[in-house]
Amino acid sequence: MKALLVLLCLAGVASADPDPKRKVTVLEFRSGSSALQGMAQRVVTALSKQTSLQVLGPDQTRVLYGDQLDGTLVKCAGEADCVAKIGQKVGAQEVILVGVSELGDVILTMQRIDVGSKQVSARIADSLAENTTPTDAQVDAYLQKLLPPGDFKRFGVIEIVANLSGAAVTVGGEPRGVTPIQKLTLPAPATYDIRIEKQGFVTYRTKVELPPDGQLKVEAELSRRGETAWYQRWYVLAAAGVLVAGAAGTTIYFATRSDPSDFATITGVVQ
Amino acid sequence: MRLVVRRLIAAATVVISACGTDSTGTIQLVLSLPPQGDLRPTGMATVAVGITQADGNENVTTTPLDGMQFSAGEVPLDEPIQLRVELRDNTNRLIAFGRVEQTITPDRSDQKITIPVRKPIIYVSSERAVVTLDPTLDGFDPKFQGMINGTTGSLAFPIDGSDIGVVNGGSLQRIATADHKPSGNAMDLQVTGASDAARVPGERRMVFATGGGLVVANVDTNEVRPLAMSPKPDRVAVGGATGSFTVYALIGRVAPPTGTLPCTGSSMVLAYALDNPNDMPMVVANGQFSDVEAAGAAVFASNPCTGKVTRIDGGGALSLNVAGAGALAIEGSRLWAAGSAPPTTAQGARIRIASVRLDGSDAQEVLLAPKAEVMTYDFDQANELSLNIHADTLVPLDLAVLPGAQYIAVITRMDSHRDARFDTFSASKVIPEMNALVHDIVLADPASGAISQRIRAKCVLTLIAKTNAEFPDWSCIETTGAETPIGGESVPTTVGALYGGR
Repeated sequence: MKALLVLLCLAGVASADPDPKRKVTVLEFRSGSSALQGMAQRVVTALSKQTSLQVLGPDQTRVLYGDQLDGTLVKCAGEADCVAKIGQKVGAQEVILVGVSELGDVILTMQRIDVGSKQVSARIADSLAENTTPTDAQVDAYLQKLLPPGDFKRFGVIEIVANLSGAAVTVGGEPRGVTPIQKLTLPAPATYDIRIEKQGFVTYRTKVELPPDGQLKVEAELSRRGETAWYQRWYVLAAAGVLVAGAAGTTIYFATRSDPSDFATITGVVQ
Repeated sequence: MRLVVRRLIAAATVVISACGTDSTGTIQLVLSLPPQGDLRPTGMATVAVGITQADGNENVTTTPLDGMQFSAGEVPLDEPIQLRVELRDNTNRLIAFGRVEQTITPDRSDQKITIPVRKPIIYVSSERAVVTLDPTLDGFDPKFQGMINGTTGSLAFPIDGSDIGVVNGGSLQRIATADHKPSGNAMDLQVTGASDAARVPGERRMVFATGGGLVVANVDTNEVRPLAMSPKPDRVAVGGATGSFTVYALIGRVAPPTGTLPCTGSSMVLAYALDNPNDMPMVVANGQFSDVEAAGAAVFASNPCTGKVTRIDGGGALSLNVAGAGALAIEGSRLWAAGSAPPTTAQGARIRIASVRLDGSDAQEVLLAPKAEVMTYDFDQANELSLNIHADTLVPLDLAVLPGAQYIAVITRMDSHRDARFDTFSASKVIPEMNALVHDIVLADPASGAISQRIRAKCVLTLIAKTNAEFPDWSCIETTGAETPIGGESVPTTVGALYGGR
């Protein structure tokens, strides 16, 4: 990296807190340069990994917009007003325009264009020596300067269901109320210790790993102290379990069976 | 005293056993990963267990890994099921896959099932050593591409989670998926010229399409027997069910046309009873077919000339429009096809990826990005003078669908011809006539069409009558980074994915 040429964040937009799950399309505009091939795709990959944004890559945008996308983009010549119309047509709230041009060095620019106001809300540019490709860490750094910090905070949801009301729920060491309790939206990825307790009942404890944009369901069945044999409590704990709905939206249902003799329990170990 | 203690321990053991088994059954899955090295998956956060019941419905239970242990719910007793597992990282990326090849019937006993769980490695064959691609890594990772030593000029085909088969000449060598090292002794197939292979579902038998006909090989017993010496098959698929497997051989493959060539030729699909070699083969269909696939009783073929993928066994109705259909694959309950889209005035030709459920419902299609290749002028020291040549035709040569269809891998061939260009005023030739032939290995997301990684396997630029041109010498642009093929340029011939469809 020779020099960071321009770093401009327009305060008006930067101060707002945009939806961290908004739809963003990433487009690539080349001004007579064949350098840094696949740059837009790398931006898409980085955004998909580190944010909860709904990211449309250039190819997905082309599918939605039509084959004339590249021609339109060339005609826009980087003008925010024109590029915003592309974003509007594909239903995006923002366009990230990755520009590659050459002025001796390779100039890489990234503009964040707000589709609603048709204005550039942030812009970053870097000058790269010939045959230099930015590392993944550099791409991450560009994006962290381009996008609001809130975009890099990700969350998951934990739903806790217990068989009795009035049990105290502690998640990650913090009291969260008593059952029945609303779904908890918490930073992810992260591991949380969950404790559900009520006087006179065996305390339920588990540890869950919450994936970003995932949804965990913890079904806890608290047994009265001294009421059940140890192996029955073991069965209850195994069956209670923790459920995860992945980011892909898989529907998962895991019922606690009333008659255990009709079913086989699946457990596993990774070696 | 010792006797008393022993009796107490024995009594306690009986009690624990009784409690542990109770009246319900247990299935303990042991997900066996490669013990070490780059092939061992890392960073897994969740495990998804997919249970498919006899009616074909699959329930997936996803749970976090607690240490290295997990619980995956319950299944009804006495009902046969099939099991698959997926390990994903905390970004929900698939990093390893495993499948129980045989049907399981849960009962009141304690069953322990070991499943080889592996990264969904992609294997690419060419005249060089077999290349591996690790889709769990970024393309820029130096370990994204790898090579299997000692496999020069071989064809590689996944057998199951434990082994891949590598055919070199008339020899079949198993390679362990855990370390990519030879496993067992090489088998003599007694024929050469293998062009395709298909696995007998649920078994460790492979059927090979070779220059000497169809050959069946049992990789466990080393038994090899010919199924049919002629006619010579180009592609092969195995359908049917245990005890009545049928081998479908495509004879006279009609490839999707390249350049300005027309779509010509004729082919047929023959059916052979796998375990009754004396039965006469049956003609399933005649046409212009580029590939054949089978699932159970259903047989599918792609016709690049009519742009159709159809079910050809007469059962069910499946007809999918896929212009230039050149390769098929079945993954799970879907049939996948790779075809082509022609160029436009401003863009090169493209690959299209279509899929449909095996019952003919839920057809989907995506187009990959338009294809072009940059040619540079050899004597421009500034490396600024270049031509961006769009693909006149871009055809799929082979297709693999990774488990869960998170990615597809396709081998493509681009052909382009450009007439010489002349100065308008002086009429002198500026750029010579040229032909470009480019082979790529493309890894793409079949849901969006986004290309995850492209490797330019080989680029050949042929200049015609260049000597009187002002700029006579041009070459394919040098590849950099992840687009550069490991081990040098070569023409890829087949692609397969561990636990995937092909």
